[in-house]
Amino acid sequence: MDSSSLVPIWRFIWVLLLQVLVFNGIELYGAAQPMILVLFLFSYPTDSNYSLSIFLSFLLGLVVDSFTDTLALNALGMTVAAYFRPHFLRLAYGISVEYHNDSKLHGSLGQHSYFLFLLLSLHHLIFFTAETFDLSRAFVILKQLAVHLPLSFLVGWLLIQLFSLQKR
Amino acid sequence: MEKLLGLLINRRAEVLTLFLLVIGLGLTVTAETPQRVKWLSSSSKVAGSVYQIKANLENYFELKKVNKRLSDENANLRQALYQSQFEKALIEGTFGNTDTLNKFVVSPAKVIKNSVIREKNLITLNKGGKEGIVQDMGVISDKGVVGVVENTSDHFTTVISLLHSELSINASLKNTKHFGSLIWDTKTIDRCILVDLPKISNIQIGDTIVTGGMSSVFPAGIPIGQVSAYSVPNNSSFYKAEVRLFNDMSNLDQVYVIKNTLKEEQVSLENPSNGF
Repeated sequence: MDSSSLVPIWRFIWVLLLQVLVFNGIELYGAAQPMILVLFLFSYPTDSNYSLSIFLSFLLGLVVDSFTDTLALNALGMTVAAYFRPHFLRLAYGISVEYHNDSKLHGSLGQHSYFLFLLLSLHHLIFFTAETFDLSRAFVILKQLAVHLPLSFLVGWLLIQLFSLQKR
Repeated sequence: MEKLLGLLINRRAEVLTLFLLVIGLGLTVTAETPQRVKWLSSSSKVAGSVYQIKANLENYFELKKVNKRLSDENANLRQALYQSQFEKALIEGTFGNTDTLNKFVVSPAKVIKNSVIREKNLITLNKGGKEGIVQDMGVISDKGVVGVVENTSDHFTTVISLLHSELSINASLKNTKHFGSLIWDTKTIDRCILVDLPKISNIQIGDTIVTGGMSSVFPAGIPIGQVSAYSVPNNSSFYKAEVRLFNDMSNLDQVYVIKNTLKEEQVSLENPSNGF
């Protein structure tokens, strides 16, 4: 088996371990928890199979859900985020991202941050909407987003910087 | 048929996404029922074992703190033991029957996973069905009520935390014994709300709230918290009180699962279907 085809599997395991063993134990001021599952989608090779990314995202969400008693909320959020990933790639990096014959993302810090923000926003929106299951409580959903999203973004961004520094 | 097949292949990402979303929504809806999908829970074998390993590691580094807490608790238990022995002797002398004093059996367990940031928070314990834990048993800590057992596997248990929007516990004022229902309004993790407390109860700020003993889950008199504010909603005959919890729900470790040995007898007597 080609070693590059194992890359998504390794990242799947890394993100899973980070979320379950490290970040699930952090509940800042009893209110916010970093939810960094979308780092899997962020780092998913751009030239890899699209359908496989959707399936693996669902699976990753479901495994994390089984550790956090969150029903299938992460699975739903990750599936939708994986589906919209190509659109977000084009939004953040421009249309030329489709013609790059390379598995790595090339872009500025701002582009990386924008891509991460889009993925996190959609995942969190789906997660909290499905958790609340009542659109009349939109205020609660917005409050949860306002509390969790900045923390997840900060932690995700730091992790990306950390891993990109290691590769240099 | 060929066209349909071609469409499915061309649109496989959309079809797969829809399929997975249906599965996800199905799991979300069915798992909302009291009997959750067991493998999708932290009491499952895999998740429970991972949390057990993690808790073991964390416990090793917190031994000093835990030791201090356990010795304090030990002292309190001894005090309670002497008190209960005294009360038991008094009752034996009067009634000659002490069955009800031994009605509740307590077994210790450790919290291996806890959450306080959801609307429906659950706690996972390192003991399960093999240790005799079943659904609807009460769970307390040395400081007070923690929650009610929701689900068990052989070696692990999930507990509905006090910080769960759908849990309601019978609670009473320690001084006057007037009772109401304790619920969580999801706003802060250190406070719950006591509702349906009769106006006649003459509640005061600082009053202690304990379990009411009207249910078969908890014995009466287990501490819950202190009244920090109260009001009477418009045209109501009942108080609504804010209760500051004795337990720090974000920092639970050693807990006790309470088994009511006379529960079946109590429930069958209270159940209206028995013809009364």
